[in-house]
Amino acid sequence: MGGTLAPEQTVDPVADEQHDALLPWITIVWNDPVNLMSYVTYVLQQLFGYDLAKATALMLDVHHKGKAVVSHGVRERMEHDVARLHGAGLWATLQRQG
Amino acid sequence: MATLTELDGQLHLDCADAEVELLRDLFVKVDGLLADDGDDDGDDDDGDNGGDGHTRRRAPADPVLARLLPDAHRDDPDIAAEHRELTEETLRQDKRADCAAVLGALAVGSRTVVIDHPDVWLRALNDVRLMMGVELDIDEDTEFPRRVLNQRDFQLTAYFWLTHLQDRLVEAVLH
Repeated sequence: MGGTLAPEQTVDPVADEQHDALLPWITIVWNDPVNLMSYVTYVLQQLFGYDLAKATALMLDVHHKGKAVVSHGVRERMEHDVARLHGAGLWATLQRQG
Repeated sequence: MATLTELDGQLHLDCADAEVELLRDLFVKVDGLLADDGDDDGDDDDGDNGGDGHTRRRAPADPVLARLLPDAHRDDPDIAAEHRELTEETLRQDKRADCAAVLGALAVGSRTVVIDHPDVWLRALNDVRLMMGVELDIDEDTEFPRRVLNQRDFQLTAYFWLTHLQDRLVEAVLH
């Protein structure tokens, strides 16, 4: 799933590693036979401010791979993200990264 | 069949009486489920108290509610319970507020429904579809029934009608 989380521009691996250490939790959206692809894309745009391309890529990961990491950060932030995704009816969980 | 039109920047849903009635019934049903915070929500008498004497809040036993109010962690019941303590009541209230707003717009006898807040409709429609998805055991391969021979076929046609409506609504808000 790392691919969907990769920054737009590749940064040097050491800095990236340090960055990840500060962001130890992730929010995952799981595939669901009911949620529409269009709706999932819309929700990801609305809740996270992702552009259409990024939201679509994440939605396609959910659809084809069964899940996608939609955000990462400190635990409290991920709890907030999960609550907002549940509010929209998406099936989301948080977990420690790695 | 209900049609969604945009007029002067406002979305309108034109429905037959029976469609308004069906939509109302479905939103009332979801709302009723969310209102039910009974004792059968998994807090059994065996007292899973997490070792600190405090009864942990677990996922609802009702499969529809379990989908509408899912666990926030897959493998760690403590994290899931803690999250549920903090968020489930608000989540229920928010979903019920969405239902109330949509029901307010769906007045009995009105055939043209003004959709003032499409995001609220999208969420509420999604919750109804999630409910039906559990009840009808919908999976990726579920197809529109070729003939309506029984209650399940009828509910499936309603489900796919709502799917179409939600899809049209997403399209409308994005363009």
